[in-house]
Amino acid sequence: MVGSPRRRTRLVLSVGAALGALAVALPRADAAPRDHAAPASQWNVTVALRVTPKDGVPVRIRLALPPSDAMQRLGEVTVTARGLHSEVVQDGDEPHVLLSGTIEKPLRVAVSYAVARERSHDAMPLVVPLDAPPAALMPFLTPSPLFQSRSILVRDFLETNVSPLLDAPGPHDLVRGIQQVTHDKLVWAKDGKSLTLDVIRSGRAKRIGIERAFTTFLRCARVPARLVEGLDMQSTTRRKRAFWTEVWSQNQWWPISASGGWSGRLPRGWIALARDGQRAVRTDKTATVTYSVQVTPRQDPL
Amino acid sequence: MTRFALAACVAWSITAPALAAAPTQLLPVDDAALASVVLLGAGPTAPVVLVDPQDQSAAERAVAASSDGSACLAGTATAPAVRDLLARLSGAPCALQDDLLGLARRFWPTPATVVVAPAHDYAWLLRGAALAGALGGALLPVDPAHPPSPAALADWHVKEWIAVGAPPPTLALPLGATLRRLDKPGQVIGESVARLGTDLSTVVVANPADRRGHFSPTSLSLLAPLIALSHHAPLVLVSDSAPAVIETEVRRAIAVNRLEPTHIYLVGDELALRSHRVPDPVFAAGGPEALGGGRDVRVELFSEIQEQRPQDYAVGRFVAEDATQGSALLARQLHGAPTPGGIAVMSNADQVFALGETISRTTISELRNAGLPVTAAFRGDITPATIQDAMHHAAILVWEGHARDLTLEEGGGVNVDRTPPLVVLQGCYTFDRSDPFILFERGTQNVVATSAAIYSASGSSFARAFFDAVVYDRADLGTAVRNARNYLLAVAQLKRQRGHNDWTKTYRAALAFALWGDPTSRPPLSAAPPKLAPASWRVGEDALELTVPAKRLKTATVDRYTAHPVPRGMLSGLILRAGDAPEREVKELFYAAVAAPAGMTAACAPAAGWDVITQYAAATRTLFVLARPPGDKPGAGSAAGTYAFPLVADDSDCPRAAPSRPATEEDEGTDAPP
Repeated sequence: MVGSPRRRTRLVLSVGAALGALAVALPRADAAPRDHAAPASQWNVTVALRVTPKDGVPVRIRLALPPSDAMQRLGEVTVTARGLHSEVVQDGDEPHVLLSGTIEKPLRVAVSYAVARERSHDAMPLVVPLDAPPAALMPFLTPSPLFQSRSILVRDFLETNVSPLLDAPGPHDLVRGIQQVTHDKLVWAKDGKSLTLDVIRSGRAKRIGIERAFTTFLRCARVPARLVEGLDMQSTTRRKRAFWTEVWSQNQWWPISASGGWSGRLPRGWIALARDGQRAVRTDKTATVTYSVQVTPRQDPL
Repeated sequence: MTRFALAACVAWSITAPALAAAPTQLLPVDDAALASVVLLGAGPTAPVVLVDPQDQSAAERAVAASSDGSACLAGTATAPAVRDLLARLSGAPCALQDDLLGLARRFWPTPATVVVAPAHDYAWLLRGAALAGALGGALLPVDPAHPPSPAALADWHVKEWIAVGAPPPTLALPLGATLRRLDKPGQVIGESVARLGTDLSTVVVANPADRRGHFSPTSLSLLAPLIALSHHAPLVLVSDSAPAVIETEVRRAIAVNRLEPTHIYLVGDELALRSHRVPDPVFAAGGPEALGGGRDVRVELFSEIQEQRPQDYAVGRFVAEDATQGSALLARQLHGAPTPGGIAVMSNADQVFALGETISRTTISELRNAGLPVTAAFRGDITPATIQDAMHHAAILVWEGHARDLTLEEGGGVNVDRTPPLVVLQGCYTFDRSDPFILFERGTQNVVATSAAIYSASGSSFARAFFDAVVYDRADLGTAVRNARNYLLAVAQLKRQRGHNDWTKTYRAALAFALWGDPTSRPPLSAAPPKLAPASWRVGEDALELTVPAKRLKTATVDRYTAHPVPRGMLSGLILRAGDAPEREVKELFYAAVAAPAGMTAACAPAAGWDVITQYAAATRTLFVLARPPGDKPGAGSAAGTYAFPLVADDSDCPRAAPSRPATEEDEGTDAPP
């Protein structure tokens, strides 16, 4: 069952207003030294997983692969998983590797794939709330356990923090207003919270928490939004995880980040893996999985 | 048939979503003057739903629930798209209604009084509507620049005209008619009280600024005059959303008009009428930060618990996401048809709260002892399917444990079509989630929930005390929540007095519970005489008498915890151990909320070894008494018999012995919060 979206805002936006007319103090992707003029980049990625089974429970692990779309292309995939059955699904919006079977002791698995990133989009257009969203967008407006967009905390946050920006004279950009306030009010902290309502209560969040909150705020304001988990090829961290948000405007999804303070142009070296709150690695509680990601630039064309 | 489906066959009767009586009246939410007239004129006898084009689903649901069809009204200025929507919803073109005078005359052909209010001054429009409701008169919103002519009013036979506003609209009345002008809010309340009488029991509070805002301002104040009318109550409009301002202005209205209400009904959400924010007492005392990241607790208005005083008034809050949902909810409350249902209790789904589950099991025994139909599910028995079943068939759902999404699908969307009229969400931060709003949308009328992290023993003790008040005292929901919160406050004070450092955990729970719903509503319990006699209190002139029966409820044992109270025995996180054995028994307590005899504000211990906490609520002259009987060894229980608690004018008049905490007594301690 899909519910109808909740009415959330009575904003009268200056639709024709120029982007950034609101005095947003965020760094902008088009102002940052990003890759909008860069050529396509490509990499070989290896995900090394250590799978620890739970007593007697058949293991079932789903590892997300980069979906091919206008921004990125998935190349060949290889799996080394002795002792587990592996199934590679490369087509569709959610390509993945499915590992299953029964193991008695911890096991190492490697999944390798090639991926290419195209140049980023042009600057993001003004995004406005949808009064009559099509059915296909409903899942990105309705609340879910991860995105509690009908919570009183969410509306309180928006009314308390975003409304003053919208009350200021001049044309307004709702999405940038929410982005700015999220960026300013929810402080990044390594030990911060990751669930939306916890993030709002504490004001301190991991990046995933900030983006989840941002997605939730946008849904509350009737802007279709979804969370993206991906990889940052330039990251030096073990898992190279990156999180951002996508908003729907002019018949396409546009990347935007409250934690990073950019919009429109996905940073260089970032690729998407899983969307709408799905995780890059899912175990369905059948096993404990730790993993690391290794990336090398690829010279051969995909 | 599942266990929850069986509950539908038993004899509880509670107001449910189906609307009966008369066609549902649909009209645009944005026309406050039209809405005010229709709500006041038609609302008492027929469902009125204010339609917002951005929230069609609520209106569609209300129309679908109406057994007598629907009709719509609109003005010529109503946007064509909105008018089309109204017509589509009602299945027929809308009656166009720009003539508010004609409409008022239709609703009130021969009113004793007409209250004239400025149509475009929202706060005064609400005041006028509330006054008209109190007087049993008509409401006539007028444009001060274009008032109706004397000729138009000539054949409307009215005894009294009252104009309200700052300034009140000027009206040229037919010859012989007189007009009184009220230009101060206090005058309007005073006029209402003069008609309602000072012995009224409820005060309704709203903030007219709740129509302002960018993110779905709720506009629930539009419904406040009808709520006041249906509760025989004056309406107090506050000038700000700050809790101190609200309480000051309402208390002033109560004092000036010499009212002695027992109930306060807040109409507005957290943005319109803000709760107190107090530092989390656990964290402030050096304890851990609550798991959900909260460092303060939202404490309901008029609680006083944050001042370590008992809550005096019974308080409830009318909450909805917008006026469409609010009007549909109000229509259900006023016109909903009763349908049968049982009580569904779902406890400890995550299998980590043994102490809370122990107490929860005794509550179930208590309800069954009173002849009430209860279905219960614990731990692994709680699945999405059983939750769905309970949602569809129960009249009361009690959830105890980790907060969980009862109403949402993982992938987005709502997974329930019908929800119980009363839902108790005994878990952490249960008011913070989307659930309460979805519950209201789908049929629930009252939600008891929390604004903070709750330790399981305290939370389950609250639920037990709540149902104790509902079942045995026949208390309304506001009073039951008040008494249960005051019980936790008393337990916290008892623990503190006995040297338990974790008293702040119980105190936080006392602060956090509240009622979103009608504080005067009363589940129509058809409880049978209890199978086992309960503990009972009798109020004498100079003493309270407690009678403890000999027979006990079925023993509840979960993991290492055991409880076997007498009926109406109260429980908490106070537990007893025997030697070094791991087993723990929940200590039995006794609690009463009684009308205090004149001049008496405290009760003393009946004998040595008893520990008594008394609280006196001055406005309602209610005495709350918590008694811990002697007995510090598991298995002994309280001795049956009758005990006299001397009543005194002041707590300091009680002979006081320092409580001696036995080595066998512990607090809930490490019991983790849900």
